Amino acid sequence: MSFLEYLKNNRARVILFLTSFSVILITLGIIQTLLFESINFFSELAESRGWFTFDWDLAGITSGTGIAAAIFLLVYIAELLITKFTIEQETKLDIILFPKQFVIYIAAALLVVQFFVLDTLLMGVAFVFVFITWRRLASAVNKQRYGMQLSDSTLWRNISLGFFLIALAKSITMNYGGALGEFFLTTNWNPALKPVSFGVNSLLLTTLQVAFGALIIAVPLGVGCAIYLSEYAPPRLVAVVKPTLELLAGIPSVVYGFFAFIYIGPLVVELGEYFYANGWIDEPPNVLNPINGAIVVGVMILPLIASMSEDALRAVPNELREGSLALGATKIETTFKVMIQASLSGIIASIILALSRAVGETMAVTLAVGTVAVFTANMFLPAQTMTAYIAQRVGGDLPFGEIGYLTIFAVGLYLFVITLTLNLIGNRVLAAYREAY
Amino acid sequence: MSEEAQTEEIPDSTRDLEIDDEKELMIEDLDLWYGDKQALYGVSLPIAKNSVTALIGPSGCGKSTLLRMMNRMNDLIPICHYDGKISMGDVEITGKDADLVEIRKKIGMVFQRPNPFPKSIYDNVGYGVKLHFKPTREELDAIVEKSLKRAALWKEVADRQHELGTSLSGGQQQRLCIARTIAIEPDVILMDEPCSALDPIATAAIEELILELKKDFTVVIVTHSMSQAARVSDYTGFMYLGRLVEFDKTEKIFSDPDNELTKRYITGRFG
Amino acid sequence: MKDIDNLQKRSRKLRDFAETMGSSGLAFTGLVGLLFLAILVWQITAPTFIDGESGEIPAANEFITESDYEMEWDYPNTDSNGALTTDAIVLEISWDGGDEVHELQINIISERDIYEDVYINESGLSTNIVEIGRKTKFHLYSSLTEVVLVIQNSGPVPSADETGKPLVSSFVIEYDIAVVYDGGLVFEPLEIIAYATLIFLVIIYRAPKSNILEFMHKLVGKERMVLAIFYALALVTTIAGGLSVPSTLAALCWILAARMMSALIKGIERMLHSGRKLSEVSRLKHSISNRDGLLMWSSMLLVTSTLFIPLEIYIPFLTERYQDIFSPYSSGIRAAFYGTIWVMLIAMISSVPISVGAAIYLEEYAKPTKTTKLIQALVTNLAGVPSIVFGMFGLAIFVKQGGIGWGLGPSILAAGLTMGVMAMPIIVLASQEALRSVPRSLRESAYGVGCTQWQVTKDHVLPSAMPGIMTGSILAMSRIMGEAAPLVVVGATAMIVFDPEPLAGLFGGNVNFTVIPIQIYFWTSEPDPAWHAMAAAASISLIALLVAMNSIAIVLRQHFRRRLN
Repeated sequence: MSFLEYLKNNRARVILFLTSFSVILITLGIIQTLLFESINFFSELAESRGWFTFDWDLAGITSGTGIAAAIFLLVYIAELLITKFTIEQETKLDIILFPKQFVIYIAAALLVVQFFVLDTLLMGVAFVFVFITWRRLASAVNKQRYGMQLSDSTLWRNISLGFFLIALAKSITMNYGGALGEFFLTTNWNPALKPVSFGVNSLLLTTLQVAFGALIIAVPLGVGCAIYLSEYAPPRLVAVVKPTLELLAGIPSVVYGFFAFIYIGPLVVELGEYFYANGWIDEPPNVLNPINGAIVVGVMILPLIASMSEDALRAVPNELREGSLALGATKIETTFKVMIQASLSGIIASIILALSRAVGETMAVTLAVGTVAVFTANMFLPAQTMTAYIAQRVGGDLPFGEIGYLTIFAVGLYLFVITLTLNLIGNRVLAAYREAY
Repeated sequence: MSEEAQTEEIPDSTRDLEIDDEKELMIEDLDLWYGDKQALYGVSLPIAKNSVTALIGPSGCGKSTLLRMMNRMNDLIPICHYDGKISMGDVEITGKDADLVEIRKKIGMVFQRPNPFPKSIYDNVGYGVKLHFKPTREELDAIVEKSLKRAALWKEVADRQHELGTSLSGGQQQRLCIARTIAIEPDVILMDEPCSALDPIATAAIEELILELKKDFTVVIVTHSMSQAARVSDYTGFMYLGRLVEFDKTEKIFSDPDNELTKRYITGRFG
Repeated sequence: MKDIDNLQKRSRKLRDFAETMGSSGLAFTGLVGLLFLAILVWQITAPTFIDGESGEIPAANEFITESDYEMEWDYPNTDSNGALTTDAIVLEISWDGGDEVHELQINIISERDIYEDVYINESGLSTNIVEIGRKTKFHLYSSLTEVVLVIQNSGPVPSADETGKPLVSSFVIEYDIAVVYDGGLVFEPLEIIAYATLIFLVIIYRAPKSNILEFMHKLVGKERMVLAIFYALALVTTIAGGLSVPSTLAALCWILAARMMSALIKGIERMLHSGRKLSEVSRLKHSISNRDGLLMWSSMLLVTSTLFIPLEIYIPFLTERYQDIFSPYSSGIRAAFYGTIWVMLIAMISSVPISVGAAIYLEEYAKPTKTTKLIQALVTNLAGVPSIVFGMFGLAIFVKQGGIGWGLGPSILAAGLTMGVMAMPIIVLASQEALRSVPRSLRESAYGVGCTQWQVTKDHVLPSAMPGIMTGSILAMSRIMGEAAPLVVVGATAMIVFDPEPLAGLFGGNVNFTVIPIQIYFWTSEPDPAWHAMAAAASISLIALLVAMNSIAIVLRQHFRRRLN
């Protein structure tokens, strides 16, 4: 059946597959966008600082990374060719593939020596690639010739890929080291006024303050709510509280932001005034502050934690509960010693996912926390989270391609990586939990 | 008696089974696995035309699997794979490039629990017809009426054809499913314990219907009730642990079975 | 022996105490959510009261004179090489009335063009940054009647005037009627009766009482008359109330009450017809048709009434566009409303078919290959990606020109597509859930009559999963309706004085647009408290819209369920 015929007979399947394939395209699009512009940001930053000037069109080909990439490709193609075609007869290639043993020893020795002779590590690694490819080809041909099955082992490919990644990382840190260092290690974020500086840690600190502050509020309340709903509450109350939680989850974040700005902010200021009067903090409090944001984000993620934890608790088989009660444990002992332990990983998954939600929360935080990037432990002063920085920075038409525009992608990539990691962990834990019950 | 010992008593079922009547389906040496677990071991079986063939056996013996294999319903289970041959005339059902739609059109199926579509009675019966024959409105009306009459349901639903199929009683629903199946004029009707979810009166109606259907169709029925098999079938196959133990005329099986296991089963000593 | 008894008694007491404390503590935490919600609703509505009650809002038709000083600098923030300058423009402002001299320093801190509004009043200055085209403009506004003197001390020379002096002009601005004011609970008698009737009927529906039903029984056969009376009352209420919001809502109450009455009467008739007695009231619940839908709508109406009536929402708020920065009370959310609708429509059209297709593929067609697993994992994790990241995706793909950018500009089309991408994983997950819950037997029976896989999916699986899919889609839509972050990135602006054009990105035209959450965001960022009241009003409108969407989802689900069973 030809390909066209297949298409014709399976139109529905092909179209549906394409629709689901768009998910991959979207993900690739997101990653491509963020990564591409972030690299631009770092190279532009490094360039404006005068740390390096990198001429891609010439140096890119001759650089170690280029060679590494080329040789990696070679390994891959060679492996493909060998698994596809058989080289049974002896050919002229054999002189190269199977030299006398001492030649191999000499080559290996040279390999070691060149690390001391060549002044770049990358070139050294590239020669290691050459050596590996050479021996790989030889052993593959050998195997074919003596009738052995070619194993599916991808060990060699993995090793060379590992070398390639190391080389890439090395070249990135060589070229972008300064920019990366400034971005990830310094604490002053000032992208607008000269002298500019890009230390993302001040944004990160506020983000974490808000996210963990929100967890401190939402975890006890949310988990408590879940326990109460699944173990204690009369059905009539559940019928009221559950829709309420859904309603809380459905309220737009910008409305929460307004709520924080109008209502929570002044309350926090009163608390701050008390702190200030006692000399616990140095500066008078402001209406916009991370505590304000933490409270409002806490309220926002409360329904998420509550409903997911409740699902986890409900998934615990009834036998466990009954078994514990049959032993004479009280309801509260059963709840805390059996139910919570049994559903612990489900609850933890909900907390991780809620943390990711809190880190990614934008509008409420922008309105509640403020727009001044500072690195301070005083949580009563205006600060700025990563999301808030992006929202504030793009609030209008930015000239594309300039460093101010590129910063948001670097921050966005960092944010994306953090939330994606949290989501991956959370979903993995959740899947394991679902499998357990 | 241990299971191994019982298995030893099962004769090699790959032997040639001959029947006098014309053959509709021929199953040859069928092995089937669910993942690593083998569910059928070398089953060979002829199905006679215009007759009722019953498959009996204890739960989990593979009779439903065998039945679902006859119109490749097992393909819906991803982990299922098989080896062997089922043929219908010169059409090979188990062939790699077999047209599943054509096979299922020729070999209809009625399921354990009545499962009418959530549509009207009329649409339930007419759906398959519309799909395969693209009839005009009048033709469709005629086909629906004929099928409902053949399924002995016409008298009960003639004036409410446009009510939901799910609003009928269990027995009526099952007869509706049969009407739906015979509307597309299959050659074979497979029935997977069609009466297990029904009360005795509905069961009697279905059994009567099966005897009626025999005139036009070949019926293969899986049942866990031996009395039902004795009542409706012409041929009976007894299956045990994925093997076909014995296959013969129903009278022979229920009066004088060759195999010791069969004898013990039909006299109710195990299973 | 006695000691052990005592010990046991004491430990039991302790245990009981712990039991009570524990459960009541948990109950307390469970109810905190409710409390938060109550505070939220109260506080959102609170700012809308404050102004009206304290009487700070100027009465209608009161004129306030303002002076407007306008200066323009052409590209003052770049020098001849195009590099950024950080020269401060220092303006000195003084007026006759005050004995103090205000000095204002404005730093050009951004490479962007800035439009700076500076307000001057007796108490001092406040600033607000908004944006405008390719020129940097400073507007000085004063609410003083005196002439304000502006002297520029340093910075680039303004281009507005050849002599280097700023252009001075003056104009008059009119304050409009307050959008939200506390009119108290003003009810017409008919309206009160309408609400009372509706509440009464809701209670009857929830817990039927036999003696009341006996009274209703007398109305059997007179349904048309009852309906006519109620509809007439609805008409009278609307006309008598002068088409105001409360009267319209009350008229809706009458109409719903009429429907409920007729459903009740029919139910009673049917019950008696089938030989039941009225005392068997629990039976009634099953015999009344459309019970859930009616109850839903009526309770929704009551809730929205309690929200809207005390606020006396001024209708122009819903029908007016944004006016300008001085007249909060005559601005409205018309443009934002249209923007929201268009963005949602485009998001829906672009994402629902693709998402449902993807869900069908993953649930019905896909074999468990690596690709399938990858797609599944991606869907699950995309659903958790922060919305602002989707905004940046939209900015790079849909808004930007060049590279992989489509160059739609900051338009409704780009915003809709971005929102569609954001909604996709949510819809896919919900649809998968719905498809998974379709029973196996249905698929088998369809295969049994010889359907192809596509026919099984199209004719049987999809219709059965439809309620779930629709509910999921509408919920996803309601989620993106409240989402502002991606649109901030895509480039929605708040100051829109025209109705947005949905296809402007493709065919040219003015691409600017706004949506309700964006309005709330920008209005909250304004320093003037009057705008906060506007933000509150917009919040309430948004929540009302969301509640309406969710109700539609619930009603649809009920409808389909009834049809299927």
